[in-house]
Amino acid sequence: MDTLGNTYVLEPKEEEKFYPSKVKRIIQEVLEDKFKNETQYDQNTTPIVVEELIKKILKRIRETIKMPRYKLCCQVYAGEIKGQGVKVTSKCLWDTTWDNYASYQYTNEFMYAVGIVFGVYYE
Amino acid sequence: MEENQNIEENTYSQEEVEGIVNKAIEDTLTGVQYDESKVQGWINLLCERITSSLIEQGKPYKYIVHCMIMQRNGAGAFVVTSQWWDTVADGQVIVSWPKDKQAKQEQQKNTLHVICSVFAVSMIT
Repeated sequence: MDTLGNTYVLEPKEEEKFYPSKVKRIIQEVLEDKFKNETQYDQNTTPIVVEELIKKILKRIRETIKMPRYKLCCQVYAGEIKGQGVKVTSKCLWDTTWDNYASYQYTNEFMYAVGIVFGVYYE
Repeated sequence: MEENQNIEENTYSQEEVEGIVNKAIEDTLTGVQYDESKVQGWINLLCERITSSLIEQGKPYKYIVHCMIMQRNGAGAFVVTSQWWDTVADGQVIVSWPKDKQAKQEQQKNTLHVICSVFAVSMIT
């Protein structure tokens, strides 16, 4: 039988905080790596590509940045550009001291992709 | 008896949240046509409505409400989400509006499409 004791840790350490700039860099690398300049939006293949991408982003973040007390939510939007308007907003109810988000958008002539990662601290 | 009540108060209910989101979208966006100048206002209003209804529930959760309003002109779009969290206590709801049946019934030419996602992250372990 396992017994768990209290850790008495109330806040993340300096190195273990959610730094938006670091996470943004990872999202940027993964998105740019996948969608090189001339990629077109294809109804059949793009959903599969995007699913792969999101797993990659989450895995990369977990491996490169040490944030053991953070829960992560990752979202990727991808769409065709056909002259339409798009507006994306988020509103969060959380602890502004430790929780944060990072986002990066990629566009080329034919399509756009937006990657957003939210990091929520838990004890 | 008390314990049972506690469990209900502290867990996240998928149907309730879905109901809240659907209601908020319908209240804000029924019958409107996509307008570039007004869209910022709508989306803010929508997010605020959803957040305040979620707070009223009084559960120990942090919420992330995320909305995307898109003009409908035949272009395709795709949304994927992935999380690293406690699969028992945390949950998400993704609502896409309007659903096709609704649009046909109301015989409106819907010029916009809304995809709204709510993530609920538990504060207690």
